[in-house]
Amino acid sequence: MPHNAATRLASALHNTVAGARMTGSQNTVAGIMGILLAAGTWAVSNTFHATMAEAGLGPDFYPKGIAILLGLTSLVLIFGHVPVTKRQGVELKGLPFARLVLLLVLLWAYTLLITRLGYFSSTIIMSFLATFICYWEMDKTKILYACVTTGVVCISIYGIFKVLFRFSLPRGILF
Amino acid sequence: MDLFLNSVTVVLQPANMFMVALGVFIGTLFGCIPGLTATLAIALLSPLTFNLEPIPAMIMLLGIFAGGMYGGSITAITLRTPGAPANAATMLDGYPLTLQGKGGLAIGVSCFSGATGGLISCAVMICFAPIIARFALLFSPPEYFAVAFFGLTAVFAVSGSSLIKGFFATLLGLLFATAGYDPIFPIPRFDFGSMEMTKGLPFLPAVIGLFAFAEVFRLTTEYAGEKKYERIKIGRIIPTFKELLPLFPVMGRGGVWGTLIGILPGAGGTIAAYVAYGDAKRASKHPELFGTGILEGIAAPEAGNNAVTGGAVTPMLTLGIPGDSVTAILLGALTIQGIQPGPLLFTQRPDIVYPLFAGMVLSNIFLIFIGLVVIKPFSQLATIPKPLLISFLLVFGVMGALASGGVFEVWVALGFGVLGFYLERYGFPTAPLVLGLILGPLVENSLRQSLMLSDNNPMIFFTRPISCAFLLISAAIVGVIIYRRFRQRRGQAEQAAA
Repeated sequence: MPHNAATRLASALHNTVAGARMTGSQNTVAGIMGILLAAGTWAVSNTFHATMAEAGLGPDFYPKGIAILLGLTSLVLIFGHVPVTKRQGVELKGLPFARLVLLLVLLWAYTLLITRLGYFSSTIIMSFLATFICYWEMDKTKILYACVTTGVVCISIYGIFKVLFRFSLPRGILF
Repeated sequence: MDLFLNSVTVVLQPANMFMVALGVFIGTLFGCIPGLTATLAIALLSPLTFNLEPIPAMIMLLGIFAGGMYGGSITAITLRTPGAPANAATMLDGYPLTLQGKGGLAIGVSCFSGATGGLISCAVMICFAPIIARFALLFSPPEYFAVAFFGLTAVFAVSGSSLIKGFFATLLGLLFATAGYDPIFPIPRFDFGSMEMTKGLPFLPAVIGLFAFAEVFRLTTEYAGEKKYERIKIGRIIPTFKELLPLFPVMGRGGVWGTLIGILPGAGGTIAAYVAYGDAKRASKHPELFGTGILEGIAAPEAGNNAVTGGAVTPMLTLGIPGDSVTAILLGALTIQGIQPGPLLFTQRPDIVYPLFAGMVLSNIFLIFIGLVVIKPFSQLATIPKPLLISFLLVFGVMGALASGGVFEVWVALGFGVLGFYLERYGFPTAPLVLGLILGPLVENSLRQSLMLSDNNPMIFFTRPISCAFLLISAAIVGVIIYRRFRQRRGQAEQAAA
């Protein structure tokens, strides 16, 4: 008996999740995020106190107004019949998701390292790895392409920033 | 007119001419690579203008705007892959012409039409911008609030498939714009203890994230090897005078449509191109030939989408209210140069504003020369390996964000990149967010100042004719769109029932 109840519950949960996927979980997720953002905005806005508030509406008036509108719009996104847009792009699982995560980690590391290692050293590493992330699961001869890409990117961006627009690029331990 | 003629001499200085040419070249280059747009090019290059004087900086960015509109037509015609959505209408007759062996001629006509459309819009801008600016001198906070509100409403109402999603994106932009010092009281808001945040969220890194990083994330997740394109001979490029002469009326009409649509917030090049195409087809003596590969089908949309440039820049310069993402970024770049667009710009800084007009005229003239020279090499640019593009955009984006401040700016760009990627995936338009970000301070300032003037009585917006008119037009736009979507849904439901 408990086994049946658990199966039914699991089945109901599965159907709910699957149904949500079909009928607009994207709107629900966006709506929930919107409500959280609105609530956070309201809470933080309560800490804004002007000493001369009687001279006009205080510094919390406008953010609170936006928070109310954002909360209401989010409720419409969750409960209203907002059309579900066909998702753009590929499904984010497997290789595409791994690529996205790796790229974000790479960008995070690049941002941290560029001011320490300098433009050339960090960009050579970053550009090679970014290209390699794309060629993942492909012919390993693409490593050569990754090397060429790295060279082209490093030199062209150096040319644009340093030579053409005279911007100083970060210097580090090697260059 | 004297001011304009004097400014021509400023723009004709070699350094300034070089910047215009560079802008047109970069715009054309970005425009013809599918996925990259003039908006992205301007977002990436705006931080690089910090070291430049305002005039060369801005005329280069305006050159990118003009070049980007044309660039997308090259691959639309040769490879049936429009570089930007605004060039999709050009594909209808462009690709059939390529199949007939006249691809080069089609691109040549596209180049002449783009320049003609752009010059028409410049003429309108030069004539009417000072008049609009003089009229706008009458504006006070309630009018500014109403005009900004109108701009935001028009943009969120027409971008994307859903009014609610557009509104949601606008609110996000307005909310992000509240970070930093309160405009009236010296109180930091949403700074979370960070010194950088007391200045507010930096605009240019945010748009680098929304356009460059979001595009990189999309390209990376979707990469599945290179698409194969057949190499096609494009043949003769430069059209004869005999071929161009009958196209001038079509270009003229397209140019007027493009200018008018460009002035309207939210409309943009794609709508202008299709409207101009439809108009040319209606006015043609042989409408049945449209879509089979005729030069009128190239001239109309290209004149239309290039004419958007002058139209879109007019409200940005005269009122300080941008109508789309490109002009929002241009406004941000102007502000960084210490120039505040608006009616006072015409009286206080004519030394800046008229050279910008002259720069736009020159960029459309350069478009003919540069546009024709680059056709052959650029027509193959859609085949550029995506990993190279991804790597280039990533490094350029990070360097651009660093150039606009420091490491904090890179984090902002990264955050907005992730946000932009997910917004695009789930059908939330990014243009309203960008407009919300740039117009947020103006909206808040004018709203609060208006309410202070009226002892917190919101009726102040309805007792003044200009602000009342703009608010009513905004309500009408939303009303019409809701009604049309309601009718559309009812029609679909009836069809399903039948």
